[in-house]
Amino acid sequence: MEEKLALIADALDADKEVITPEKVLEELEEWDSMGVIAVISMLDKKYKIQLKADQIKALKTINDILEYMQER
Amino acid sequence: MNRNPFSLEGTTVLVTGASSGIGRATALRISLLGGVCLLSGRDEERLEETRRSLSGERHLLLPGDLADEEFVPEMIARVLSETGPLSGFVHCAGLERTLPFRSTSLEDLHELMRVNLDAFWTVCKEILRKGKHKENLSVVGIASIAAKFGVSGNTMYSASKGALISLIRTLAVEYAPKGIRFNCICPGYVQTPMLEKLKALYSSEEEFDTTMNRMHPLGVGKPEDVANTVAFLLSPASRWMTGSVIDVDGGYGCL
Repeated sequence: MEEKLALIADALDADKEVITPEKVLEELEEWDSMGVIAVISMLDKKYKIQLKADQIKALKTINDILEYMQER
Repeated sequence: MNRNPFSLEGTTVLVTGASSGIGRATALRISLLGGVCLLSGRDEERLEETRRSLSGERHLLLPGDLADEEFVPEMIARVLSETGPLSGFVHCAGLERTLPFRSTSLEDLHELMRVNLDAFWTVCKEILRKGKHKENLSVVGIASIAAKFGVSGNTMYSASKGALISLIRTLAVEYAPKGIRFNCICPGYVQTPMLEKLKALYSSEEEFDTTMNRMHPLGVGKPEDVANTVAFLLSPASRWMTGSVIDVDGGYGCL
């Protein structure tokens, strides 16, 4: 879990302490257009997951991102 | 005086990236103006689709990887034996990857450069040799407005297109004594599969359309808008132009 949160923090260039599973993405100033692209790219590179437009729009919390990072 | 300096009758033109978008539209325009197209791309099936859409016959499919230094000489040898020396070369093949700079890697950059720059470099090296081109060879590179204006997330793409422009301007000077011309087009956003991918990054189709229309006073372009300028640069009508970088961008650069 810690490792996955670190990957998300790194993609967003955010402080590790603020990246918790419950965190609402819209509350993060790093969740801007570049932040979204960085997370999509991280999921693609590290987990071979290509999110579709509706899946991207459905991301509301850090936990939603973590769900794509399971069992891989 | 030539009655129609825009005609491409009797020309043989290599078009890379011919399986879709600007490359496919360019091939179609060349064929409609009387030229023979040598269609390069990695997907043979889609190249065949392009060939079926063209006017006239004798168009050749050249599937393969252009950044492969061994493949290119073989490809040009085949061209020479089947259609003779080249009159034109248009480099439409290109990769785009939007990523924040912090998420890029040198590996990503090299992958993009391989197509956007190395392929152009390799083909030029081969076709500029004596006997492989006609006297008035015209080379056209498809760069991008991204090479001239900053766009967030476009570092790799803009760097590759900027390098293409600089290379073309230098080749223009180096080969002018031989009568070989090199020009470049900087398109704005054009309705292509590449643009469709960018759509996914916007929250809605409306937001995407609004943003695109705000950026282009004449709206988003069509592949044929760029193809028509390519055809002009290949034709004798542009015989006094070399090293030019032409914006075909719906007014993007005016804002």
